[in-house]
Amino acid sequence: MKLTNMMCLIIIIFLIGCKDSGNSEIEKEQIYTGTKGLDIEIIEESYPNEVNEKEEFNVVIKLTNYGAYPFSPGNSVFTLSTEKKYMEFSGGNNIESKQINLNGKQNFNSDDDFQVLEYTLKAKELDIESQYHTVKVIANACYDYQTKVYADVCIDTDKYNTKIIDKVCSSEPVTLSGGQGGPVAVTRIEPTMLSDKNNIKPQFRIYIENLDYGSVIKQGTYNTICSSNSPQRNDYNQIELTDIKFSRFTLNDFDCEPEINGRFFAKLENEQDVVTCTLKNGISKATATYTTPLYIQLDYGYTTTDFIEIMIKNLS
Amino acid sequence: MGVISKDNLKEVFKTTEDIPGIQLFFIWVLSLLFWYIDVAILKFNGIDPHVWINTRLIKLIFESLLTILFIVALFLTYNLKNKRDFFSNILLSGVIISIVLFDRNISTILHLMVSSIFILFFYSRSENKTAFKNIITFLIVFDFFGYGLIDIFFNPNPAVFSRVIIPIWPLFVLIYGTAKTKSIGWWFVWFVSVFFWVVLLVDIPVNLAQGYSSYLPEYDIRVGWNKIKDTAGKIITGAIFSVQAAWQRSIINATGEYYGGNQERSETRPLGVYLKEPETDMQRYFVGDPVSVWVPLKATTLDKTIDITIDCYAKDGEDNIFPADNIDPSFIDVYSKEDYFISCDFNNLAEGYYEITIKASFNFLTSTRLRVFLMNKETVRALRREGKEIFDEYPFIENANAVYTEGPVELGMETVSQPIIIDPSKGSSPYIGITLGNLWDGIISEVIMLELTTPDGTQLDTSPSSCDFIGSGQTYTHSNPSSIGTIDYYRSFRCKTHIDIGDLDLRAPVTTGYFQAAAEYIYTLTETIDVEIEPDV
Repeated sequence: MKLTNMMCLIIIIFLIGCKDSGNSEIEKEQIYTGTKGLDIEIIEESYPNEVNEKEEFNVVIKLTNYGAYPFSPGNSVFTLSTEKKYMEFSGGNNIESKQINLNGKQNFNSDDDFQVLEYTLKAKELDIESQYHTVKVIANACYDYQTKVYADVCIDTDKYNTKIIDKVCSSEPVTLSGGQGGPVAVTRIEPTMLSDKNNIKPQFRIYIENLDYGSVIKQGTYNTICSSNSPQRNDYNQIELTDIKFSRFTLNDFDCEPEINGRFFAKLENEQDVVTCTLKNGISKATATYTTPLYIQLDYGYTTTDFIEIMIKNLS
Repeated sequence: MGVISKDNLKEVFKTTEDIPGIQLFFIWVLSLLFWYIDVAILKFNGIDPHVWINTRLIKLIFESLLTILFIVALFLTYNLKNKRDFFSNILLSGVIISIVLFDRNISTILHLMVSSIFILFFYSRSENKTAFKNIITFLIVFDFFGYGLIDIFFNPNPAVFSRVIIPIWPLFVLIYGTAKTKSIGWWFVWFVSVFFWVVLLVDIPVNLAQGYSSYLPEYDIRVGWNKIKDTAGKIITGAIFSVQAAWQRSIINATGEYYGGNQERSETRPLGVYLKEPETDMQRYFVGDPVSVWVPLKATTLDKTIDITIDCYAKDGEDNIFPADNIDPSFIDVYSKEDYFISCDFNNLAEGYYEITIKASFNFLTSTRLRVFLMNKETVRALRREGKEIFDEYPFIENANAVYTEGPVELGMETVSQPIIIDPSKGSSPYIGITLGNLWDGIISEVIMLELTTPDGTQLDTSPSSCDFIGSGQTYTHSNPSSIGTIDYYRSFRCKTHIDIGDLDLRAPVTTGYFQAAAEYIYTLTETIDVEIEPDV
């Protein structure tokens, strides 16, 4: 009986201990992958290439969130504008603005969320004796976004191989391809184990890159960038590192550069930059070398533009 | 080594054997068809100089070509037997690569492919292939780049006029064929070619200046010969006029006083009033015979009614004027499209030579629009600081030309390069330049109205030091259009404007707006025909 109970206990412990980490790994790969955030698609079949004066027509736009971060009212704006002299929306304006409301990819739903917007436009009269004129219809989106990165790194406490025990891993650069579910991605992590007498201080050089065709802006500036207001000096190309953690260490345990007023920013140049984060207090050398997931979170804004041309023809 | 030398010219025509006349004739017909398709159907006139006279593009392409040529030379030089041939290959390849790099339009590629038919036909029969390749390189450069350069200096209307004057491939076939066939019939081909070329030259300056889209009118030999006799003087004076006007225009363009644009082209029937060549009802007139002169007139308008007044008179050798006894019709209202045969009758002209003049004066309206993009200066600065190009960031922004409606007058407009940058603290004061330019053979007799509309929020500086426009808000008119007077070539106006940051649409980073202008004027077309009244027998 005791043996039977012991066997049951072992089996139970075994079952509890078996985490479904394989499945969660698969989910992360499906969700935090890709290099696109919001995609604007002006559906070609929805609008005519030529319209007559005073004719109404529709334009259909599909907004798709290919990334993992959700859009909510208050973190994005989408505008569709046309040329006031020659075209207007059915309400009489030449600009229509909307906030975007789309989910990001989720654990139980890795499909890309999308929203279809239909606009009715009206061509105005041409100039006297004019036979045709081409008008531009411009779609512009500015939004806040976030990239989450999960990468396994090796914390090598025996940099010079002085211990007798075999190490389970050695600290090597990690290359990340395919993106992490947003237009900004970490493409490479270079860990370096800085050493003092008793501790090692892991240092991570984090390579960040804009992998999509739009422009990176500072988080929270979407209203300024998508308007004619004056932007501030650092409103473009700025990405904030808002979280970094592994094992029990979190953002506050790191010193990162570049740093501005206690916050850590990357400033893209030629769409790239590097942030270096070093653990402040270090890990005892007595700890065995181990592999652990490193989590990085980047917050930023993004802007993207598309346009079409429609010819207005004289009715005569 | 010269690319083109006297020896080359002799050498290029050496072929391995004489070419049969029938093959040459076929190639000649093909070259004419090729020329006709270029001129009348595709309106192909080579690569637009505005594309390749672009120093950044030239630099990029030149560097790419140099790299390619250097690599090729490295591989081949050590084993090079015929350096001349090697360099002629490089030159020809370089020219073809440049054409494809500069312009990948379907008409350019098709033109290149068809040109290669002529090249290959004669190349395979050429004894000195190196010399032949050098000549071909020159011809291709002229075909794709030369005509565009000619247009810049002479600005003919329509643009393929220079290709009509110099039909390069038919000419090459004629010259080459002369050297390579002994067939007597080839001289007949020459005769026919020259005859119709001269006939075409006579008619085209007149018709094309009036905007006719037809280059090849219906002719019989008799009419053509009469035209050669009657209009030889027109060609000479017209050519002098064209050169003068083009020279003046090129200087004006260089000094920046002529504000241009692009004209709309109608798909079917061009707008405006057109007079064709006058004709008489008889070949010979004797004293006592009534003289009737007919002139076909076409008129097309879209929105504004055209009122046409016809005047006819005869002038003798002593400048005495004899008004027509009857003009039918003497006044025409055009609401849409009208075709008329104007008839001018002279009942009692005495013996002698007369120049009969038919004048059509009509009101016409030309409008123009210029798209502009307005941006906050701080946005532009922020983007440039980050190394971002405005045109990459907002690809819909362009340095568009003004577009003006069809008719006898060019209403060009220009302003500063795009986007117009607005300083948040003090606004911006870009200029707006307008030019009324005479495109046809007639004259702008009088300007009735000249109106300018500015983009939302943009004010025109109406002070006397700026320009002669008055108004407020967005609409301004010339204070005294009749003071502009008669315009033979062009008249320009340049005004200052002012835009404040508050005038930008807050909801978008780039505000799109338009400068618009409209000019109404009286235009006078004139046609003449010479008549001789012979003594009664």
